[in-house]
Amino acid sequence: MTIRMTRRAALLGGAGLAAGTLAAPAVAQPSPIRLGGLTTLEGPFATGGQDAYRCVQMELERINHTIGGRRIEFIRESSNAQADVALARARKLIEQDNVDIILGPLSGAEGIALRDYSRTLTGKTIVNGSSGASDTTLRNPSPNFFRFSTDGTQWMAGLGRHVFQQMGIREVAVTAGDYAFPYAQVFGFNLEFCRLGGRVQHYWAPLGTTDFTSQIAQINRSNAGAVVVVHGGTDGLAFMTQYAQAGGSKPLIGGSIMADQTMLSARGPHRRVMNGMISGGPIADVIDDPTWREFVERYRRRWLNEGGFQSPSIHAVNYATNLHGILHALGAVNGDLSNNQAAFQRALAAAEITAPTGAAVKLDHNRQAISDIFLNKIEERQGTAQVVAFGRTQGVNQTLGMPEAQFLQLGAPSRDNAGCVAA
Amino acid sequence: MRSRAAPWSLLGLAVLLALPWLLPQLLPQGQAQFWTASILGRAIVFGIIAMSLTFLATYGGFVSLAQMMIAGIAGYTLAIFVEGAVPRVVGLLGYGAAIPLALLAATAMGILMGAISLRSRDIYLLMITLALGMGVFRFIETNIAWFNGYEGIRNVVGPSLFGLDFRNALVFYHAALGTAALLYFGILYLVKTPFGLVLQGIRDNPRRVAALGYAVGLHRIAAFGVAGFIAGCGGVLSTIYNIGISPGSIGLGATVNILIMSVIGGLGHPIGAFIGSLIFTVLDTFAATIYDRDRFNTLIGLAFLAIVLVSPDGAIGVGARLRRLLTAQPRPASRVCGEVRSRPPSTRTAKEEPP
Amino acid sequence: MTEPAIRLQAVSRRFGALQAVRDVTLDVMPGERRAVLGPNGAGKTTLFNTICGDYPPTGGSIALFGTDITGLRPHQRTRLGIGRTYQTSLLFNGLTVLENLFIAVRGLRPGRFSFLRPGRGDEGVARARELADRMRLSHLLAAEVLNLSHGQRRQLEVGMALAGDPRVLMLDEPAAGLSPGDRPELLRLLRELPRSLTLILIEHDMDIALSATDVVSVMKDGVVVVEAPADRIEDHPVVQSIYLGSGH
Repeated sequence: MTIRMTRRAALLGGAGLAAGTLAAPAVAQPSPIRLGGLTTLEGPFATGGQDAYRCVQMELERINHTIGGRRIEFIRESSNAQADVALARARKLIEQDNVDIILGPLSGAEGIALRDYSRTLTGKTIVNGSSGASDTTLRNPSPNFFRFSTDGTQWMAGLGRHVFQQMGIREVAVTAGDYAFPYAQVFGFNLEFCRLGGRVQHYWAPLGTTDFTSQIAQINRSNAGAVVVVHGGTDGLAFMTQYAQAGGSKPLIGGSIMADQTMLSARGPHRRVMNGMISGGPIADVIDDPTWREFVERYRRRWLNEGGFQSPSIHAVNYATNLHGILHALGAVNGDLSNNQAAFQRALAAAEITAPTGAAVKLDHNRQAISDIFLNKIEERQGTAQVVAFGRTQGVNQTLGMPEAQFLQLGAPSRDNAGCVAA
Repeated sequence: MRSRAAPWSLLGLAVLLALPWLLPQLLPQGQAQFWTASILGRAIVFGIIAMSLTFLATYGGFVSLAQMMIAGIAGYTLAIFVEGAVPRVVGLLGYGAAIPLALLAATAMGILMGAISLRSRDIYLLMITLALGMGVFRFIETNIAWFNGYEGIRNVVGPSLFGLDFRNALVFYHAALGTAALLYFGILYLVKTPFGLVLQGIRDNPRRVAALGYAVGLHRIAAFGVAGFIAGCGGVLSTIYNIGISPGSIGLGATVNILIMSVIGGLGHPIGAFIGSLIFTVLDTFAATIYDRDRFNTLIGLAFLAIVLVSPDGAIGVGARLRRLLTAQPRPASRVCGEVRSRPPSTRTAKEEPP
Repeated sequence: MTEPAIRLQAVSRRFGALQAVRDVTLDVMPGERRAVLGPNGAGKTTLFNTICGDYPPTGGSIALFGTDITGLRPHQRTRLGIGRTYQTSLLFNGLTVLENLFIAVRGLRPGRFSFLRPGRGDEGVARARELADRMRLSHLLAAEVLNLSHGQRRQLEVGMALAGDPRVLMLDEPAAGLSPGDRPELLRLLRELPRSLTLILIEHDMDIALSATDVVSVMKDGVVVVEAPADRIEDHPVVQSIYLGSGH
């Protein structure tokens, strides 16, 4: 009897709730803006994807889900970092859920797939999440695809110059993964370093390499004044561990995903050699900027007790940066998406915003971010290793200051085209 | 000859052909287009790939997990050779030449798979085809020069068909449906030819087939070639549908998805592949809407488990079960509700056949 | 002098430690009707399998009308004129009677590897129908083999073995499991076979074996122990002790 009562009560309550939510939109005058989110909640980047949604939710809560007098409805979708899955989800968001704007995706191949898809759409806009392949906006850009975050080549801006001029090193050994993302990063480093007159010796290793000992022996014997390490995930950890065990003493320069908390929090001998490592990237744990301090503070307050990290991840910051671009443009046109979003897209292209890191962001003619890149150093602070920004290269564009035609002439980064061209 | 399925298939085909005009009567415009292009269109494309597995399993008794990889070979061949793909690898051919080349490559890959796995059967065949599929996947994922590694090859937009653009959802839907129908009726035709009958003979009794004068190995390899061609058609369509191809399209997840489609649809008749892929696509698309977005894969898994538990021979078995329940007839040894028939129940004993 | 239809010279077959067939030397002349008798486990079926190629011999040689076939694969031997049935019916259960016979007919004809359906006037289909008629199965052409009775399955087995017009027909216990009512039908079938056909028969039913054949070989423990004309075999003392004495 009691069970039946509770069940009935629950049913009544549920019905009441449903009626309430149904009635609510009838009160609001203009129809809501439908914003579709696409990130990876499955697969290898799931933690990054979850963190991205944390920041998106936090930023939408801050403006009470309202911009230009219109409500924003956020519809979340998930892929698994595969291009075709991302595409299927994007189609669902556009065609079934009828969203106006997609915010996403997270990884490189997905980004290129969505860029191609966006070209087939009219009156819809896709704004990047955290995908960082250069080609997404550099070659065959789509008029409907906008990216307020920077790409893997941009992330190395200032690093080559710092190594050559400040550290006074004339020759480096580059050890890197043999796939697209490291190619782009090595390309960015070499472009500056070689133009200044530096010499580079490359050591490539396929993704998933676990034994770097012979490579490290070669590097230690060489004349290189520093080692540039651009490996991802467990490969990076394996290299660092073996480098420490082999007694490596050359200064280390890291790719953007080397200076990462997952790496720094792991125990092992690598922490000793990584202390003091210089790297480049769009964020750091510690940036001496009030915007960043305020953002991190809000993030911790909102999420530390609900599974969040000490400091938002790179994916979360990229999603937040792109969301800021969307919100800025929506505010500028007062929520007006009529006329196939023409005014909105103009506002996006013209947007000048500040990223959560405090970096200034504007878009180039390919709708790709021109923004600030940080030079970072790993320091021990209160017993934990932290990535601390000590320098900032302002207004880095996608061609690292090179004229676009000349940059495109160099061709896409690859192991045979690593960007080491003398001036 | 005595195919009861053919008239029903024709009726189903007519309904599917008219669907893009029927659906808007029932659903809002945007949703109707979504259902034709992104649910039915996608289901048909993956149904074709699943049908290549169903064909081998139903008529030959071979469960091959390499079919998604073979479809990928067609997709990659198309992407490598067709003009306009990014990055440009060869890019010299128009679609008129690149698509036949892609189908040829898939057929050749099918024949190669058949030749390599010639002496394996049952679980060993499954394992060897899975291993071959994963090997090719890993190679493609790490090869930059030809396959552009992890990022794959994009911007395969598809041809114009009689002045109609393939990117138009309606054109793509009908092209996919036409291809699927041709292949489906092609299979129904093929299984009554000497080749098809011998293939079923190999399924029921390979020893006897050899004793009748047939080269069993040759027929097996040819069957894998036919399945490779079918998978290749699906691979070409899915590559155009996805505007390109990347290694994820042929990875373990994609391979298992094809197996799931075949199994939940039922391995007794080629139509099962399409029923299975439709169920899969609908669940895959809407599970996140119905259930928690972080954990919707649980719902998908439970649904598939339920189907297989209720009807071990898949969705096409459900129909047969219902019909039997309604007519209350004892079960005839019907081909409609067949599972993969293995060799007949053995009455052999040790005395008759030394080990 | 005419070549024997089948000539076995010192044929052996070993399965690991088990010597199933040991040094069998045997000539079967063209047109001869030969029965192979023996208790269970004597090696009769293994001998059949070495002749047909299912298990190649581990020693000795086999010749078919003077051609050495020792190293050939089963389907190659079939194409040279050997037809056989199996002790346990090895039929295609998922197919119909007509389809079973059609496959059997096409196996030795051009077009055995064809992606085209047989046309209306197809010779192979006509021949399959004719065989069905001969095997008294014409009323079951469209029936799935899975649904046939045991007797019908045995008849189909013989029909399929005959489909390729073999020069040598090898029947492995065609009467096994047949009801007494079905046996005269089988005997009639065997007697109707053309005299030019060489027939080798494994059979437990002495009545059928002796009334359908001219010569009998008796095997025990992998060895042929007696070879004698059919009308004298029943009196042979060795046969009485090992075969009839032990029963079956």
